Amino acid sequence: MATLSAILVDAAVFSAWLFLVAVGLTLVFGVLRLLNIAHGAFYSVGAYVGVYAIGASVSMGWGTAVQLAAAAVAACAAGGLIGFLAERCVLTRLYGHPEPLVLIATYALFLVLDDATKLVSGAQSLYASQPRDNLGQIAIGGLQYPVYDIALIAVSLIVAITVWYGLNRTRAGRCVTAVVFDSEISAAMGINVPRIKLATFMVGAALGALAGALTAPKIAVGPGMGVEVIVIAFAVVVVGGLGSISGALLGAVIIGLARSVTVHLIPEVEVFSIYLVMAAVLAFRPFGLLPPAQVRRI
Amino acid sequence: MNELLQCIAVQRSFGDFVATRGVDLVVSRGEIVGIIGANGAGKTTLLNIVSGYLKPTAGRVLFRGVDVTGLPPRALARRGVARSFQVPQLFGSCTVLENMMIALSLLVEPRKSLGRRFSDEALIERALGVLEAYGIAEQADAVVTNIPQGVRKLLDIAMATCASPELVLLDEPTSGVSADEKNALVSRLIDRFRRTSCAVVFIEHDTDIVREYASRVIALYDGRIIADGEASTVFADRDVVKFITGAVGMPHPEHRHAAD
Amino acid sequence: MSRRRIDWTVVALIAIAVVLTLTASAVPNWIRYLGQQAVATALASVGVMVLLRAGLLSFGQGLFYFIGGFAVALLDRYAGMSDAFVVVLVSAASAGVLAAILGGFLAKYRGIFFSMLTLAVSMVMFGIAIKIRLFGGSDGLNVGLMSYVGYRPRGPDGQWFSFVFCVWTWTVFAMATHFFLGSRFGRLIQAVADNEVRVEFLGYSVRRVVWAAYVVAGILAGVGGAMAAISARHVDAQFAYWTTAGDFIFVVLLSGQASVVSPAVGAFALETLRSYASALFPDQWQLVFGGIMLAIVLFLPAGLDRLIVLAWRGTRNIRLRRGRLSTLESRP
Repeated sequence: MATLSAILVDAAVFSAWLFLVAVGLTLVFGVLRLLNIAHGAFYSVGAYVGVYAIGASVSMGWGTAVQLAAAAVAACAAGGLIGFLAERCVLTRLYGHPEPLVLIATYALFLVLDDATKLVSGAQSLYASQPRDNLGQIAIGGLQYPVYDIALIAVSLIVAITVWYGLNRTRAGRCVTAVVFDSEISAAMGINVPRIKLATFMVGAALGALAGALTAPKIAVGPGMGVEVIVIAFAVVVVGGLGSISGALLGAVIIGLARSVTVHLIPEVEVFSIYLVMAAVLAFRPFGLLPPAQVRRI
Repeated sequence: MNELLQCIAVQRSFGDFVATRGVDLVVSRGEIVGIIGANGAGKTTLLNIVSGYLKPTAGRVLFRGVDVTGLPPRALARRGVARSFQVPQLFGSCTVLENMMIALSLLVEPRKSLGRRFSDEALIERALGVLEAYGIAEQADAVVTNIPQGVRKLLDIAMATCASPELVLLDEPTSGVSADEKNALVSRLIDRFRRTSCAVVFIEHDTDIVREYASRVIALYDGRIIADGEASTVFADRDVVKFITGAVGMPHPEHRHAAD
Repeated sequence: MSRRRIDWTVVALIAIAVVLTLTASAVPNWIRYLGQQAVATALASVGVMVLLRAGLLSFGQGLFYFIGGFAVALLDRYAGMSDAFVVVLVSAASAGVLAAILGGFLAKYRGIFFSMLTLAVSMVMFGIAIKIRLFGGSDGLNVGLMSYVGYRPRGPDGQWFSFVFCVWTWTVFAMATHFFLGSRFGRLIQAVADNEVRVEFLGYSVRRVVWAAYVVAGILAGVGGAMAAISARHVDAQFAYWTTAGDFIFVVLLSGQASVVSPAVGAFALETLRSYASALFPDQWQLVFGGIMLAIVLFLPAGLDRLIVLAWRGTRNIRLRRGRLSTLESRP
């Protein structure tokens, strides 16, 4: 029984992380119909910004809550700003162009941002584990877990609810949904489509950066973080269905569970558990578990 | 056997919405059948089912006596079912000539010739021949995004039918074509098809065209066939008048308020 | 009466190969090495080009580059086989088989799904490669000197043979691809990108077309990897890393897709750029690379070829019309 609770808690912790990482990606895809490879770079920017914010807060003598708040706010701001620049300078000119070209553009953006972070922060690893250490540990099912990790589960649920609420219950959110379905008609109805696209991209970028900042206390922040994240985030949204927030949640839960199970029971396969789940799901549901509806062509 | 196409109790639903219900129909060699009906009556859905693009949720489709229910469009195309589209489906980055060459190399030429050069003189010749028969050889070098709708429609039909099919399905062949060109287009098409003994089923909104060219008319309403027979009989049918045409000389049922 | 038009691509390919062979001994070694690397990259990039014709962007050609390269290394190390012709054929075959299997699954997908799935598969291979001793872990494997149907040249002779071999391997495979793309089946690849529905209704399976394109691209990347292994005499897991695939995409983007010769130009530019960049600003290579890609995407998305293509199409139309007018006139 101890193993079961260990599996479940680990799954919950990992799923929370997966969701935080993937939600920005799926939001941007759902609205802009582009898979933002640079999402990995937003994640890594967020992580670095988080480290600096926490470091600064620590040296100012501020408490844990403030450290984390500073990290979150700074990351969101950085992500939002870079997202703004990326969308305005590059992506805006590419809507309506063939898909491969847009994908190449986001790949190029990733490379540029990744190296830019390396330029600013150097190549060595940075640490900001203070908030996580300060929050201490909690015992669940006989094992000790950092309170921080458990708290992240709550944070990801809050993010999920906020995004859901934002999309379904606010006027701005309904405009976004309209744009998703048909941007031409939305424009004809008076919705400012370019602004919606810009805002969505900024939110997606901010969410990616936030995920990075919140992960920073758990890991060594160094170059190369961004790449793994892209593939993992893609796997999560693919399993759940590209473009759907509930899909991202579902995908995160399934993959988190799968990885937790393999870590505890079949450790050799652990690294590939994500890909195995993705392959298994795609074998039966080629477009994910909750794909958005397809319009008939002829 | 004379029956080319048989639909037996064909039904197609999309979730709760029933687009086609209980359609029984037989089309024989040499017949020219016009399908009429208001928008949403299920005409294109029926054509999609017969050409293999959609699987019926119930019922069967037989072509030349063989059950072809659920076969994909490419299988039906190879068996001799040709289909043209409401919105012409062309290869956008190619010229009219190249479109025709691709169609010929897939439908007419033997499979193993796919390894041969594309810009082959003989293939070009043959393609030009077909284009001439349809009167669109002049635009052979134009990229299809730059040609008028009438030419696009003709090309669409020419490509689909280049292999002398046995059953030709035309989805609104004159939509988007100007009024003075409609007759010329349809008469050219019917002329060509009459020379082979293929059967033609065409969806058409223009009742004059239907009266002129169709030997038989099928009227659809709400997914069901409400009339099936000779043109004059069908157009005089009360239900057809009520739901589809409105009688000549009387205001259309829906427009009665304006007349009052 | 048909007048055969001159196939300029074939002429260019052979001319380049002949010129390079004749001048090979006169050129300094580092340029020859650059040329070999360029040729390896270029062939893999032709594969990317083939898939792009179907409207598909593969981020995973590094997988086959890896397979091809490691086939050479493993044959050398464990089977004592180092005949250049044999290893290249084995590389092509292994890459082809893997592509045939993966393609059966991937041919269902388009757009972003296709791109990201190819990326994922390639990164899985990378993940496996750095862990397993067979592939030399993160250090990779060294590749011995090649022999050529029994003759094993050494020293500068060996380098000359290696270079000339790579040039002609490139020529053979590029030409084969050129004929493939110019065939009716090859035209179907572009037709699929234009309108899949239409192809299906004309009686042909789109999936089969995409599968074939994927297999061809896989073989080309495999042979490219083999050439990279032969010229660098070293292979490592980096071959399967997604940035290797990114290089191939860069080449096609830079040089355009007008013909199979274009990537050769782009690849040479890339390798030259890379060697200068690693000398001048080693830490910011990705920045420069990404920056150039962005510039091309924003200002010249069809690649440098665009200008050539426009001119070519203009003259082709004129010639086609003139040619046909004479055929029409000569008919009764």
